[in-house]
Amino acid sequence: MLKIENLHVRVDGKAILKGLDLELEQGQVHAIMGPNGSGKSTLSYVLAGRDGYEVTEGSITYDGVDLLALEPEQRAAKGVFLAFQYPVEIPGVSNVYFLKAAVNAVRRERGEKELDAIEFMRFAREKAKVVQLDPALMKRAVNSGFSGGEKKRNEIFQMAALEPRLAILDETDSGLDIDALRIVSEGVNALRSPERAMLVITHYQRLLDYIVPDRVHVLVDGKIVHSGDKTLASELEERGYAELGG
Amino acid sequence: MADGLLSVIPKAAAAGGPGWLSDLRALAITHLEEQGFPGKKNERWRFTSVRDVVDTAFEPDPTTSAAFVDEALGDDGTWRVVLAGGRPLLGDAAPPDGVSVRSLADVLATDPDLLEGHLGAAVATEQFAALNGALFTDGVVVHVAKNADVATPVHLVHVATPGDAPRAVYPRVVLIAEPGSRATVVESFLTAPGGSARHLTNTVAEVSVGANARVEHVRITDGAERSLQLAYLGARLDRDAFYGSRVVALGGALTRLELFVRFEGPGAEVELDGVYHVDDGDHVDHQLRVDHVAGRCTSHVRYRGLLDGRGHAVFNAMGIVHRDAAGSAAHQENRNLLLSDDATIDTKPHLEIDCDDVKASHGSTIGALDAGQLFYLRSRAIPEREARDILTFAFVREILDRIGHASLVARTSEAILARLPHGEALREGLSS
Ligand SMILES: Nc1ncnc2c1ncn2[C@@H]1O[C@H](COP(=O)(O)OP(=O)(O)OP(=O)(O)O)[C@@H](O)[C@H]1O
Ligand SMILES: [Mg+2]
Repeated sequence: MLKIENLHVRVDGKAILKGLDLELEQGQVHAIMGPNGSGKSTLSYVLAGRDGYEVTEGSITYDGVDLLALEPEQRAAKGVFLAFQYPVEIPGVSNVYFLKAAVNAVRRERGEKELDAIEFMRFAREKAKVVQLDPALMKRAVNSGFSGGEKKRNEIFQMAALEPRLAILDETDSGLDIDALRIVSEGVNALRSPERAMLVITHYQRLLDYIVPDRVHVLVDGKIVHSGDKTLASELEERGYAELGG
Repeated sequence: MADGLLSVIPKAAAAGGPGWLSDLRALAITHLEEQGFPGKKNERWRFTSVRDVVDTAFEPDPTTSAAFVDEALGDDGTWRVVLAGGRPLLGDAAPPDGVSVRSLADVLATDPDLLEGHLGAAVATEQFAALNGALFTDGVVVHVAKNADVATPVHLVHVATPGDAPRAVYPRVVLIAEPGSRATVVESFLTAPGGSARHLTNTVAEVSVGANARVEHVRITDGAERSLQLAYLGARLDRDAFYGSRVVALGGALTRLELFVRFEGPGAEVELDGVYHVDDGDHVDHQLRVDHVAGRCTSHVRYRGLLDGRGHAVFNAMGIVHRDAAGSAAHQENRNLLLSDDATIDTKPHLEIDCDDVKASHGSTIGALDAGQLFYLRSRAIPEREARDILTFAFVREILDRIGHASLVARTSEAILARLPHGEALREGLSS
């Protein structure tokens, strides 16, 4: 479903990704771990299509199409979803309005009927249950004044509503307390399905105890230096990244 | 110059009325004759040229009806008076309880004492306020009774009807809110379909807010290509009074508002909110001045601008805290969203403080849409052009919401969306 080959990316003239290869099959969950600044968020932004990330070499193929040729909104409409490490605050735009615009954009792409205000509210209330999102947060401006944990919940709430085929979760666990981590992880697990692939970026094995990955990759200095099964996460936690080369 | 705007002045001197009014007119005329009209050397006129206006010989606007207004505004839950040709078209419908709404000419003829100390009190030296002072013959007097709580907004709809030659109106509005009263007054400035020549609306509104009274004053200008709006609005507040000014200025060939506020008693508060939008051919200028004469008063100036096309906006706010005004708080903020490389904004909020015990802040920003926010919306499948409009509208929404009255929030929101490139797409969604 997703094939990244020899990906080289520069940001502001600085090389960040230096020949990254990764392949993800439909239905699989892969974890990416790696030290601060190794390029994990850069990879997630390149997948989502953010401006300012210059791909100097390599390719990304998603469902057989050249992902890099698509605008961010086209990627999203085709099922790519990024749960941001730092969700963006948008004062003046209500969460409900925002998500309705998003859901209907995706529905248009899929050839489904757009939801009207009443249908959408019913739909949104169902989806909010996935992560036990406080309904009051739906009326507030997008992420505006949300606590760190509320923002992360809001990301997974959006993921539940948009039903992506490829979800990239960038440190969704950071900022969550123990209970929230469990709730959000259960929400993510509920969204696992044979049609859906996930790339889970994290620093902590704890998250991977809940969301058990099929593969774990170690990203150091812009390259995958090691891949293994789920036991790699605990190994890393014990021994650190240094021993795995980089 | 003799053929232009000033050529009508001598006639004005002959207008009748009580002695204090004649004195006032004489003062205005002297001021105009001595000062002439402002040029670029005048600091407050550096970015707005009126040479064109001054050289034009405007005829009086003879219009006596404006049938399109009801359809244009619909049932907005306000009590409306239309001013056509600068004169109010007062029907038989009684105004809301606690408020009287009369024609200024009528009050001057029958009850001039009511106006003494209110009419002419706020207008000092601004040239276009003086012009109105010299030339006005009619307008509206809104008088809110002591302790009255008037829920229904009184809505003055100023209609400019352009003809085939340049026309002008000089209506004057006097709003007196007696102590302890509460009221909302709305002024809308509309341009009727009509001829192709320019139309000047030169208004002065004078607002007196009595002790412990609360006045909300909404001002909505739908600018047009042919419309020239040169307005002066002066508000004076007695002790513990509140005045909320909500200004929405949407384009226009020349739309200028001078908004001067004076705290005359302690413990009063003003909120001066504004939203403006300029696009090709628009020039919108706001000049604010807040005089903290009495102590323990609070002023908040919050203006936001949307700058598109080759539009030009000017914002200038001056907060003056006088020597004895201890415990004052004066805040000014002007934020601008630049939507095009060709739009221009000249912004200058500033404070003059002659007193130690003051809380004050001022600042202005000019920025483009936030790239991070734009990407966030797009990463959720929202097309770029729609995302841009969502963020553009969000930039001013908070200020629009403070207009308070739902039908007016809706009307101004829709008017702004109509001016955005893809605002249509947003309309339906706003109701949710
Ligand atoms: N605009 C930029 N200009 C220059 N360098 C940048 C820019 N954006 C990111 N970088 C650099 O790119 C590198 C990779 O950043 P990235 O955010 O991808 O790291 P990460 O692996 O997600 O780290 P963390 O675990 O801390 O989230 C860092 O060294 C960062 O400083
Ligand atoms: Mg990161």
